[in-house]
Amino acid sequence: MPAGGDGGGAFIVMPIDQPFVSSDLDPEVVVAHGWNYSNNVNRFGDVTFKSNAAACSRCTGGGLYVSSGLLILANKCKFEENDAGFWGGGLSLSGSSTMAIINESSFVHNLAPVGGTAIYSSAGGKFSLSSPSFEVSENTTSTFLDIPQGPDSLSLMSPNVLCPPGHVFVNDTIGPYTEEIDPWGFMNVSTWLVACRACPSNQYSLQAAHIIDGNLTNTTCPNCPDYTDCSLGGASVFALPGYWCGSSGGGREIGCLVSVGILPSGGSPPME
Amino acid sequence: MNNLFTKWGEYRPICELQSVPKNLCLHRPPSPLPPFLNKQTFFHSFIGGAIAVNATEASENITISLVDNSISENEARFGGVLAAVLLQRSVYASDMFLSFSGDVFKNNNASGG
Repeated sequence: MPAGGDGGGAFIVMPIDQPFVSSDLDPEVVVAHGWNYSNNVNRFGDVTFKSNAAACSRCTGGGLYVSSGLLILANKCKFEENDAGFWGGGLSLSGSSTMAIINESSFVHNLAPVGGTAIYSSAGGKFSLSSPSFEVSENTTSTFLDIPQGPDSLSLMSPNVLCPPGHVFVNDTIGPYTEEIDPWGFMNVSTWLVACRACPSNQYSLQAAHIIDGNLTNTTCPNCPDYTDCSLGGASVFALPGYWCGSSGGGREIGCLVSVGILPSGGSPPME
Repeated sequence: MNNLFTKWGEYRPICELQSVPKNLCLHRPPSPLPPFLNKQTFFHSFIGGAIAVNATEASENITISLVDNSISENEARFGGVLAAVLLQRSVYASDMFLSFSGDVFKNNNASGG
């Protein structure tokens, strides 16, 4: 059941989709599954969800909450700066059958503390993302794409992802693997957990991981340079008292200045 | 196929009992509204921030099409199922088509109950 307050911009529960179940179903055999979505369609084209909030502590779908039916997002829909109290900052999909086809849509700086700042889906229907854009806020540690038990036919084509500075791109997608789900029995499912993770404490990066048209440029998190404090992780590097530090090497490295000279990372302070 | 908003008369008592602004009941009869609502501005919905559609028990076909609307600064002040758009009919009997094009949902807040 959705919590009161789900769907900050729009809250949509479609009619229940009827599952396709074979009459000679063998519960010991892994089968494909599906639902009949005919005449149960929810289409958004060139629609913007901006600065909406599903504000209660268990609320999902800051921009949009959809349960059941076939959801089509097309023609450059935008989800910007929406906020959910639980998961699904931009978009939350619920219901066992909900199917989503998302083309050329952007998810920018949405927030949800538990997971899926851009998209969270607990639905089991097919899920397709084509040419999506994700810009992840640095004010979150959550996944931006979170599908704990989706179908085996999850599809992600030509994504664009921009992580904040000091964050690496992490894809913890698992599967497909087999679960037993009514009314079909054994079936293959997948888990998608995709995130931009800040460099941990005492490491840093001045770079931002990004994906452009499906090509990943990730970053690494080297140890904190001498004479600096990186206890906050991410791209936060502070000079220790008595030193001046700045970036060098095209913004990739930190160097520190002591009195009259510049120390490369790992160097020793000059003799007094 | 029926226009969703011809059903709004049934919810008039809710609007009046809750002492909500008159424009909350913008879409109710007397005269059935066309299925396409263009360039409207919606204020002060009950739930879902701006629009809530609950058709899990609808028995009649429903078509909603919104084009180039600004749906802004709504606040859902009640949890549960009170909605700007709410249908309740029999199970498994409806076709439902929702179409949104060029609309902007902005600064809406569903705080729940």
